Amino acid sequence: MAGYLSAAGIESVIQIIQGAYSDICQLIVLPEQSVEHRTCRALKIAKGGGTRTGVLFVGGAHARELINPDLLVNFAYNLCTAYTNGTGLTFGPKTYDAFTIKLIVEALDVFVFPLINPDGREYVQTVDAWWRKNRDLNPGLPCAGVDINRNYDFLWSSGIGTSSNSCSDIFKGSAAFSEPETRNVRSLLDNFPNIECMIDIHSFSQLILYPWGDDVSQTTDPSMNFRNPAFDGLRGNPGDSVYKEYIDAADLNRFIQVGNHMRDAISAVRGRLYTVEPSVLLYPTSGTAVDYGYSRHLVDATKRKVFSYTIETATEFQPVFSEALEVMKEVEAGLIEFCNRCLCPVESISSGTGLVARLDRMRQFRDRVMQAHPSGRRYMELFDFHSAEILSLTAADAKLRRMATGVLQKLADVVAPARGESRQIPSGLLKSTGDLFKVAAAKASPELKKALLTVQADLEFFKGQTAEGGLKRADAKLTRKKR
Amino acid sequence: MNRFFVRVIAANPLALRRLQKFDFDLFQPTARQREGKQASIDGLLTMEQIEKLVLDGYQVLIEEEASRRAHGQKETMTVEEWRAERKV
Repeated sequence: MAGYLSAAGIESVIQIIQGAYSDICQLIVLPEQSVEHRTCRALKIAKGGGTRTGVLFVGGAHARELINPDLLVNFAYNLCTAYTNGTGLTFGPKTYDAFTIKLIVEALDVFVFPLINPDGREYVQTVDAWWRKNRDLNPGLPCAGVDINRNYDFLWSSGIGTSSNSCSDIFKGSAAFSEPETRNVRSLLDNFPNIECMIDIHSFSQLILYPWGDDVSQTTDPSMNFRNPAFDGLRGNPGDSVYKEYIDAADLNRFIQVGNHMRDAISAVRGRLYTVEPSVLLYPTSGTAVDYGYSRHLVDATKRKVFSYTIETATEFQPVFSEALEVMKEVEAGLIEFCNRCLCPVESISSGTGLVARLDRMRQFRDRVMQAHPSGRRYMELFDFHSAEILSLTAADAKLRRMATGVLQKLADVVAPARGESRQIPSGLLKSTGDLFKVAAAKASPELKKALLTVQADLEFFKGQTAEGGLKRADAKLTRKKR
Repeated sequence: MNRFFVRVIAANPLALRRLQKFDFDLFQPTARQREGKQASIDGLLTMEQIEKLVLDGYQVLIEEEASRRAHGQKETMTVEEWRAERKV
């Protein structure tokens, strides 16, 4: 009979998937057992090595939201099966072809941690169907359990949308990361610093949520941020004009764009329209995974930026299982779409070449120089928007891939030289970039072709310039256009 | 003690946020602006908690007794069944 797996069942299935697909699946035993001493496991799905973007999916933080651990083990199983059989994945009318699945497994590290809170799940399925927290006995306090998704280190001490009462369903615990379940998620982010994309899957409401959760966001005043103690006590009142949490405009745009792509993929399965919005809206929170994930690079500049989301699946915590299966299908489509949007063509093209060692410096150029220029941000947006197609084109065409590698090598010499400042762009680089665009445009979709032609027209700004000098001249063109 | 899935309607968003003082089981992602100034949030409450909210001026719509939505204890699957379905 079809139905929800037990906590032990989820853990067994993780091991079964790893055993069946051991060439692409690695079992990760999390460093800490749960409060009731259950071993927690995750899967890493990846073929091949090298520097790749990591994508992390976690679920089962809130015990009563039963559907999501089942969803995630099915997602892992379906991804592995499709890759191994060389097929695509079909979710109702929504299809991802075999090539897309191959790209995901061969160009990303996909981490799946389906059940963060196994003790809570066990309790839900045997004692209290609506238990939300973990099963920490909270010695010295009147009630058991800590809300895992209020225990992360993001404004934990603010008390915004959390409770210090152990009997509350949103009890935040005795300290940030007081619980082994949250520490396990942190350990994945710490131990796999290539993770750049993350979704924490919850139920319910059919939502795709992005940071921030503590207050309404703004993009104009970087000093008004969660680290600034001058604003302590002023956060957590969405709708007032006293405080708004700063978010980088390009990041906000990416959150919305990628969220919309996921929404469309989910909707294509059976018409359910998930809403893409910031976590906060009317009711603020703190200590959540989504805000912790995205805030890490702001607290510690050595950490990679993680684009983190929460998905709230379904319209109830424990749908009738026949409906749960439909929800799984639609959300799995959204997760594949998310993987697609996390693929980085530059990493893929660099794989197996000497460029890998220079990727970090190229990222620095992207984050520090390109980000500072309107034209640079525009190029990045276009690149992100078309990354899946660029990957498909370069992976399917050896000549195009060679041309792209050559351009990237020359570009790395300019923007990420072994020593010293950025150099002047050689005319050879502009010519090979133009040639690359021409060949790619001949095979591209009309949308990508248009983008390539737009950027190609801008190449003239870079003649005889450093990369930054070229960006400045391209900025001027953008400004003239706006006027 | 029986619990009920409910929708709590507040006169305005500020009144909605004031619900936090009760420490009740309210589902943060369901908080929504309604027509006019009203705002609502879903939750899982006992009859006693519902009475408290009503006395405090909130409207509470009772949707269903909670046990009717508890499918996770009745609809279960063993690992063997999971394997058999997928022929793993």
